[in-house]
Amino acid sequence: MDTACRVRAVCRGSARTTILQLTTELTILALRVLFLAILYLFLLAVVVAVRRDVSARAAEDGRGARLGRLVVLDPGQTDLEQGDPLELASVTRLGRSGQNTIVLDDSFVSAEHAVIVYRDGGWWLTDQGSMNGTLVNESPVRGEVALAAGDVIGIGSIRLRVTR
Amino acid sequence: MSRPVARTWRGIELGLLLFPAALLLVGLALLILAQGRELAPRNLGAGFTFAACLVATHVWLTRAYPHADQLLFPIAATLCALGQVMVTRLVPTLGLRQSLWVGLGFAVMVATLTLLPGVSWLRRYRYLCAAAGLLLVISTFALGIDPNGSGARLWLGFGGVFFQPSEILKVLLVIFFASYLDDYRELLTYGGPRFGPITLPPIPYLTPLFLMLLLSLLVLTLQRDLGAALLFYSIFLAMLYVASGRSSYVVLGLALFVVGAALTYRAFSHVQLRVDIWLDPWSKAESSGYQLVQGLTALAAGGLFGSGLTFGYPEYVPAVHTDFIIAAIGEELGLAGSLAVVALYLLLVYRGFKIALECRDSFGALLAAGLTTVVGVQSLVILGGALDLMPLTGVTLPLLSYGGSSILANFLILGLLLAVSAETRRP
Repeated sequence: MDTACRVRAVCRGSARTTILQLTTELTILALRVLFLAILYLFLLAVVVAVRRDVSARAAEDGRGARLGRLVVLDPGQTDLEQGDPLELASVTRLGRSGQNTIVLDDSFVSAEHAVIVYRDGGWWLTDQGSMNGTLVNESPVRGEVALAAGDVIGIGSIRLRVTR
Repeated sequence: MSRPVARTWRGIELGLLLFPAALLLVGLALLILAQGRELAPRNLGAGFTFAACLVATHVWLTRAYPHADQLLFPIAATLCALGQVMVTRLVPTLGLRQSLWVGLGFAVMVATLTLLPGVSWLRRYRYLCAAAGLLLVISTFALGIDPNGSGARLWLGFGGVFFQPSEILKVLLVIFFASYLDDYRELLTYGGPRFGPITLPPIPYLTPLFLMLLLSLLVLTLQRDLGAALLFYSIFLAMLYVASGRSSYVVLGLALFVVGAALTYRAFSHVQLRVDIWLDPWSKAESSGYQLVQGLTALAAGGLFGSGLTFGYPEYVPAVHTDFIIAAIGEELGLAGSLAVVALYLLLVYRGFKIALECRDSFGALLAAGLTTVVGVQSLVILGGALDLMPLTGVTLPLLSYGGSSILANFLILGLLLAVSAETRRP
């Protein structure tokens, strides 16, 4: 009777420790899964935030497309000021006549002097057969040339820098 | 006209910050349970303090810079949380110090943003930056110590606190390069002498830059800090490319690198050793290749989901809590864990370059691009080294590894990136 009682107590005790161990091990396993899950949920959340950011920006670009601008370095004989920004459109015509997107009233500028087109994510400049020619970084333009941000366009004594 | 309220409320950041806080708490709870200790709130002090620091930094950013990038800080905080869990697991005595460094890092980030009177203020002090950086490195020649027996005297000590000057030097160099290249940007785009399809940079204007680079490389090669030297050269090339947009400069730079690498391989025995270990670590598994082989074994032992925190044996890898922390992550969190780390760095670098692209001021853009390159290349160099994809050079894994100088320098970088972003997005 006495021994049986003691055996039962010991059994109950060891069962309790086993259950305790089991719960600890299960908790550890759950926490291990949770740990990696938090890492990956965070990555997912960041990617979702980036996606929203990108689509919001794309919508913004669609409304008021900002395709960069020309900054006046040397205004020549025009009444522009040094540092004035001139917004670029998808097709920007430069010349002396009032029909142009950007009118440059300078005696060295032809009526239709040059055109800048935005295509494939970049700007392309073509001289429209002007009398005095167009320079990009001080070398004369033949045919169509790609423009990069920082390039300087020269028309007569006018200097315009391409910026984003 | 009322201003949109939603834009001054950094909701995305707050939401994302829940993850690093939870990650650290779960990680610490896991460590306590696995070591058979009692899971009580007082044992999770470091986790709650970290969460409080996150909230404090977030509140401050919301008040002072509501428009600055919202993803950069949560990504960095997640890397830090993971780093704190791993360091606590690997060297329990350093766990608390690491949380202290991370807390100080937040303070450095906030202080950089607050004290900097505009990003363009930095460009005026470029030679001061360059001189201060070089002075720091040269002072390690005279006063350098080697507190952890790595074989290179790269630290300066002030009363029990050790500081690694090359960490701060990389930030100073980026400021110098950005300022210098921005001034000569047009000349660089125009190009110098031409040889067939290859355009050389206009050499006279680049002389101070090359001298600066040569000097820092020389100092670092003599100091045996190859990782830093490699990092500096990559920063230089990346920034030259960003400033000029000419791939021919990069081709030329890489050709010079090959020549330089061949020369240093011949001249320095420690470079030879690194390359030999990279080519065949297994034949030297008991001697010079010990660290790499142990690291590779740990990574392989981890498998897909790892052994679980505290259930692996990463202690066999030398420097596992600093340079080789990826081996411990790979062993105990598996490929899942190490891929998450790579993804975190990818997102951090993406965000940094995005800040650079959005910046309208060319100095700010160059600065952001350079600082992002520092973080990206450093992660690449040590991850590639630990995986035996390239010769191993000892640099820390940014924000993850244990180390005060590294943590503080990286938060300085984050502070500068946020400053560029805050200026760009200010309405």
